[in-house]
Amino acid sequence: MTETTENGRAMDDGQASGRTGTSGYAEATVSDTGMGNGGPVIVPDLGDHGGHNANPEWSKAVRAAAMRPMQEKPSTLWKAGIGVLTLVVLAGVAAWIYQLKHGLGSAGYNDQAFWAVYIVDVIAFIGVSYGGAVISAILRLTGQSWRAPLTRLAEGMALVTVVIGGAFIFPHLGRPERFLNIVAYPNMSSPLVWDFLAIATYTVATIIFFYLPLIPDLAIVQRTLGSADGGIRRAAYRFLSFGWLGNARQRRLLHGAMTIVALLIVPLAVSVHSVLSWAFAVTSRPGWMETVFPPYFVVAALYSGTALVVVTAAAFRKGYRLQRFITERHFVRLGYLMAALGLVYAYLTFADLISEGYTGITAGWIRETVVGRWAPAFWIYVLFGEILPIVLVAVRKTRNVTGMTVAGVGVVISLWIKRIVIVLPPVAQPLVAGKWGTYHFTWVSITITLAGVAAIPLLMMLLFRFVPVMSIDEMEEAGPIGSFEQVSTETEKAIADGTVGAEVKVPVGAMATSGAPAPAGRRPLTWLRRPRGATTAVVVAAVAVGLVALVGGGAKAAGAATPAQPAASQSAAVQSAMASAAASQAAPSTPVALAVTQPQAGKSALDLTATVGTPSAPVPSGTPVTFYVMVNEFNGSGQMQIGQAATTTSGVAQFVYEPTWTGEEQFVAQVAGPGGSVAGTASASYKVTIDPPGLPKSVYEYQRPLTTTGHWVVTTLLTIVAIVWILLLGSLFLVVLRMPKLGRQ
Amino acid sequence: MSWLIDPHLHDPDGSEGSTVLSVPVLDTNPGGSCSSGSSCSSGTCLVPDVDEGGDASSVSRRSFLRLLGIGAGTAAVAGAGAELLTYRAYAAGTANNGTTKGGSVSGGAAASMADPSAPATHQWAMVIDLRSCNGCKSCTAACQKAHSLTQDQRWIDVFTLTSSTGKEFPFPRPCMQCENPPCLHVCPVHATYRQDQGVVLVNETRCIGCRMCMAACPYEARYFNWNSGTTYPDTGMPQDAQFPVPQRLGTVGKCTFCVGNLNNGLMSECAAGCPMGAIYNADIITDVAVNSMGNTVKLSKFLDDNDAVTFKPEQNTHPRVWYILGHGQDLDADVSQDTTSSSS
Repeated sequence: MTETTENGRAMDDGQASGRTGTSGYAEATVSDTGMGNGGPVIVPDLGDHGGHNANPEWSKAVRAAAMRPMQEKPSTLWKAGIGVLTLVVLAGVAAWIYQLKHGLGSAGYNDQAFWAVYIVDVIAFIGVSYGGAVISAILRLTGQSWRAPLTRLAEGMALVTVVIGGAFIFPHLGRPERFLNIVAYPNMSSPLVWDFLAIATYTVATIIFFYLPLIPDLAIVQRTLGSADGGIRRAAYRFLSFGWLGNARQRRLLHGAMTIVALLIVPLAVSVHSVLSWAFAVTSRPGWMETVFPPYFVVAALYSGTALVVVTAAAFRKGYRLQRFITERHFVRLGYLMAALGLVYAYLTFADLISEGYTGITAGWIRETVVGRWAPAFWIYVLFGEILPIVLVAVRKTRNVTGMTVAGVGVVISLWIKRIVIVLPPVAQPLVAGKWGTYHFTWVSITITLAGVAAIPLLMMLLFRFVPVMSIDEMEEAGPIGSFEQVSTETEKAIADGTVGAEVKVPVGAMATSGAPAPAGRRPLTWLRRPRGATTAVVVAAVAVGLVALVGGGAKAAGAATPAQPAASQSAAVQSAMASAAASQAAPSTPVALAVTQPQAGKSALDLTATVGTPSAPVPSGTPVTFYVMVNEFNGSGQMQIGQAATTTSGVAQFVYEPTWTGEEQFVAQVAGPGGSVAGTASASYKVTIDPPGLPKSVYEYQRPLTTTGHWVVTTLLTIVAIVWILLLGSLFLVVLRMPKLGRQ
Repeated sequence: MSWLIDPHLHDPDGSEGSTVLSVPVLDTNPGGSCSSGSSCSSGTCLVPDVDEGGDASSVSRRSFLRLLGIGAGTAAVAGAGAELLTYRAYAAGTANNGTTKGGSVSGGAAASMADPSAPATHQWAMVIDLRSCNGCKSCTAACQKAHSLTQDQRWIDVFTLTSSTGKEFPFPRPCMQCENPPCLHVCPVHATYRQDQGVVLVNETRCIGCRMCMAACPYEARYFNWNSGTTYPDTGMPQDAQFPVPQRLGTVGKCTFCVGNLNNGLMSECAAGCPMGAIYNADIITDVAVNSMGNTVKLSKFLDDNDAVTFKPEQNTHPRVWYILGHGQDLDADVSQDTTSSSS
């Protein structure tokens, strides 16, 4: 194991960054490593790559370019940019404070536009984050060495946007200060709780996914920093690099952890966007209740994420002078990927519209989307989000950096608009009757959204003041492969002119195998080829796939409670038509007597026996007698008809009544006279003491969601979430704890 | 795991629940506050005494239906004093036919003696007789007045539907108080709950304002408090979910069935305010339905005889609001064919 001679490094970097001050630097190094004895100057192999073919020229160029933003004094342009972006973000914060004070109405919301711009922001920002993370993870897992200059940008973008996207939940909520109620009183049948879990897990995974590949770079940075950079800063880098020396064992440890996290981040990102879509799809709203929604959202996220990687790469390539490393070839490859995802997304959009368009109940929102109020937004998406990028990729002349960047900008913006079209028409549609709702953008919602947009470059520019803008370690490991080192600005220009064009036309299918063959002595980048790593990978992937499947099952089970068959309703042995309980004006003329008895001990049923007429003045048999019970619920008039019976020859009418409540009950028997008048009434009271049998609570037996199979779904899902957290944090802690030890051996 | 799962009837969280669910569903009456004409030996009345001021019909009202010790105050828990006062003040102020007697205010201590595990003695419901409704929207106005709502917050809204023959007819729509409420399932924080009398309520002191319930409700029955100008400042006082007045900024509100009124023997504001008697308050357990015209009918028979239907039964929500159709009115009018949409 060759130790670095720090003087050599310092001179290298001093040259690269145009800085002097070597002596203090060497002093610090002595205390760091106990070496630095001024031996022969060796090519810097800090981060030593365990057998990389350390190409000194390449390495020097990479380090200079990646750390230039950290070392150079910020330019005026950079400062101005930071200033403007900060102002925009602060304006957004001010608008949010205004909104907190005045309510969500100030952001244009109303009862027929209850979800609008902020939830679109959440989806859009977390979506682009997903794109960045998955692009990086997949390229890493498949060993695409051309990815090396892009991974840091993609992962940084993923980290920044997931934080911003998560933050947009707060303006979305009416009561953001109660946000932690989700933790305190979680309802596991709500998709929002799973949203929270998924986003939280994914955010942690993104941070770890950003940090782990950074460790070797942090070590490099730490040893590159001069005394002018301050002790605290160097101490922080030293702490965060955890004794990374880059020996083989450390490298094996780090790559193992990175493989686990990369494997986890793909299904995690899928689960985040699936659960986000289920917040819509578990409702019964036409336009949202769709099985296509989870893949619809996932593909939209990948599509917009790839586009934002293109835009980010273009911006930082230009602003941070990375043209030598991020070449047209990168843009073209990302462009192919973007076009393929765009086609899939177009297909899903069509599938969404066509299946719903055929049924009448859901036709309303489709008409409004395609030809109605939201038609401009929808066709903007079609034009700038589908047709334009695909054409730009298809035509050879525009298949260059500018063309791909234009396509990326179009996709990012029009997919934000597409989310508006997904969210708003189903929200605004009338579910009962009446007019469609409207949503008006206000200065509050626009300012807050623009603040989120401005926060992306702001946070990334600040981020790359502290970490290298490219992954030095990965680029050194990849080496000057392909045409990277030859693609100077001149050749780029040649390619753009079409004079050198053949090299860039890499078909999408060929990308997976287009990595340059590993030179002899270079460690294979991917750990999938190692037996132990492969086993881990399979296990992790299986767990991850299960997670995604079960999240789906859980949310669906939560949304649909099994209907129970209606139990027999309380039968009323009553045949008469509805009778008016209004008191009669006619004076009673027929004598009536009412007796209430409880014929069977222990049974609540009562016999109401009305004796009509007298022996001297009998009534004809068959005279109808109506029975009432007095009610005082609801401020009612009191008399509720409970049944009718006809008199027998002896003038007795009997009715069996099943009381529905206990206590003193008053009964009335009424004999109808001619013309609807009342011929006679009698009343009697009885104290019901036996609880009526089988009090009907409802004809419907409610079954809680998640009580049977759903219960196990929740338990299983939470277990999987716990496993994911253990794997994520375990990978991190393993690296952090073992790394210094391995470095000392 | 059961603490995680949808507490349908009782909030599992003791501390929070006691401050919100604690308004007794029945009036406990240890002081014998029933009117002198009735014997209230058990100390429990189905409804409290309402002084009719010598009205002839007060005799019937005073003949109380007493429930002997069963399930008095099923949800009553100690610590409810503040809400009870709020609630009773409201009940006293808005009672239709007089005021509740002072003696019937029961304190938290008395309420706490009730057995919380006993089954509820009422299951509130509603019947809307469309044959009688003339679309005057008095119900909406009465509700908004009682609950200090804005013009846009129509907890009971009167929609205009179109029949199969093109005739327009009014269609009042309160909260359906679903037995299988979609809003409850999707609430992330259990702010929406269903109390033991079958009324779905919103705990506005817990609601985070995510509006997932508004997305889930197929009846558009939920209304958000969007603007600070229309709500009162949050004083920090505990709020009664049965009577969530004033509404709180950034939380969702909905029809409560005026369950406080019902538990005090009064009608809901909309039913009492309906001049046509189209709205019946009903109790599934006692099998009674009453409208503002004084019609008192046996609920099950009334529904059977008139072929009552529920709104959107295909949603499997099992509403506790039934509609009685008449004059060929068609509840399944296709709302998505609304022709005003493109132009408006």
